[in-house]
Amino acid sequence: MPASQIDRLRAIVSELLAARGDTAAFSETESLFLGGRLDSMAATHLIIALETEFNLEIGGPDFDVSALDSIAEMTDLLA
Amino acid sequence: MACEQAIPVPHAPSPGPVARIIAWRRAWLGIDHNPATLRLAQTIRGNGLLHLAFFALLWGAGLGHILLALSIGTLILCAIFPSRRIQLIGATGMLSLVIQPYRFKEFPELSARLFAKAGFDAISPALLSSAVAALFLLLCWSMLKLQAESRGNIVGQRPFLAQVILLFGLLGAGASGLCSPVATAFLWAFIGVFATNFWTLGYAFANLRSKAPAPALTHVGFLRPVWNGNMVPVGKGIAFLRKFEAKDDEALAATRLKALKLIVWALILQRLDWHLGDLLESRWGIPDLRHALLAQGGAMKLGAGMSWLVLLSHYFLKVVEVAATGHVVVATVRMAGFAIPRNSVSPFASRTIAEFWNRYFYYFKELLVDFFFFPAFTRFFKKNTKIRIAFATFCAASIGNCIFHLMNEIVWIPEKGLRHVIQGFESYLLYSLILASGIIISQLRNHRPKPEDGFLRYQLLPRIGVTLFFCIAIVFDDTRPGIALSDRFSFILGLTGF
Repeated sequence: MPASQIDRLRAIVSELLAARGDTAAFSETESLFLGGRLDSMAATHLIIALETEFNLEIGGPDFDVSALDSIAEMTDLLA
Repeated sequence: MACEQAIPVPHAPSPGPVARIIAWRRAWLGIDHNPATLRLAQTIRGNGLLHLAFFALLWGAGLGHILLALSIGTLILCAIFPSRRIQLIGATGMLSLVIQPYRFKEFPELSARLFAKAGFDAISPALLSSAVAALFLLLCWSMLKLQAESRGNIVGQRPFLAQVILLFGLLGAGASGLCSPVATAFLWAFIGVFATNFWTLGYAFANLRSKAPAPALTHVGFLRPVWNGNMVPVGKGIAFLRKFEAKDDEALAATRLKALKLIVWALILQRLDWHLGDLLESRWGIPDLRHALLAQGGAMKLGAGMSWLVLLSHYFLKVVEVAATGHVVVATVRMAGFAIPRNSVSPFASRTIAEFWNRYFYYFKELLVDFFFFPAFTRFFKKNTKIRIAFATFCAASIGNCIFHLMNEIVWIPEKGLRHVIQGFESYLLYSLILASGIIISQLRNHRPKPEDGFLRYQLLPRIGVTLFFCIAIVFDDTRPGIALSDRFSFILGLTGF
């Protein structure tokens, strides 16, 4: 996955965190949802962003929101 | 030689009692980060003391004898063989399910009456229920294996839908009255076991889709881990637990110290709930909400001030009760070595209705989100974001919420009929619609309180708004029949002084 796309992913997550008053740094593998930094409402915004900006088709019984738990997992999903 | 005169060094003032209490509290809250306590908790002596203290507190939490024995036994085994904790929890989980097949307290008596009616006088109904539970485990294992090996069937493609269809099909057969007494007794015993493990089975199916799924048999063991006393699957499934499993000795020691802290807090909240509830009712004459609503239907209507006291105290005590119960369960999971998130985290600090649900009852919210919100969100109204969010929220907060609570009521169907259950459910149906509406509005509102809005608009008003919403909504949060909707509305109207 190109570095520019990973940067964009990080920017989206940073915006979601900032909207919740969280401006602390996060690593590639940090658990964002299970770790409690983002909630299910943030997940919906993240899914919409991935669909519109990365043309990701999310749906079907196999989708599991834990696939979006960290930048590394999102990168895997988009690869 | 001049003799140097000793200059008296002023002693630092000894801290007052309040400062000492604050320092103790800080030290207590930091025990899971304190290097000395972490080292001690990794020794055999320290670990033993930690477990003994935890068991004493668990006993103080008032668990039933069987559940307490199973929990203590499982935790001892996990302490002795930490690398085998998954298998051990699975084994005691299966034992727990066979020994106590039902989570609804009325189901054992119902089952006993149905088996007696069917002529099973010589065999203990508890034994028959255990046999049905063993059969259920076997069936789950077969279905999970089928899902793991092949997805070309309905169970493999839409496992949760298959579960819903099967449960409602069985309920229809049971409620129809067409079965013989023997078939009826076994059918309702099976429904009781299936319904009580419905959500954990759903998580087992979902967990099989993870990248490195556990074997089907392990999932069967986690249908009823010993800590799950009620129907909400705290700790979700095995994939979720594994993400929080302690990876080394220090992490394990920290997780167990967190467990100790949490169970102490749980007991404080539990005692607060018991004593304050007692004080409010017997000493200050503030009735509980149900009695106040029943009085509304008679001649003894309460004044506006007393009605507000009833509502606020009911809301406060309910939140405290949920927190205390959830903390005991989460503490047990943590003691077993999984540092999972708490079920309740400062719910009164919530500034939005949606945030309240996240903070008040995390695992119930997760259940609704996992089984209803995301499946709807990823399938429907993809072109319109607002409708998409609103519909998915409605599916979770209203449809999912009602299905979950309806399952708690199925115990009344065999003897009182489906009509009785549905009549009692009208109030909860309205509650779920109010709740869904509140959460939808809360999610779609563009303005969220920010610190720069000032104390009043950031700290105070949003929290008052959340409290008022839930205080009003809670009037309808009842699945028991006996109180007319008109009396509930009349009570709310009475809050305004009319």
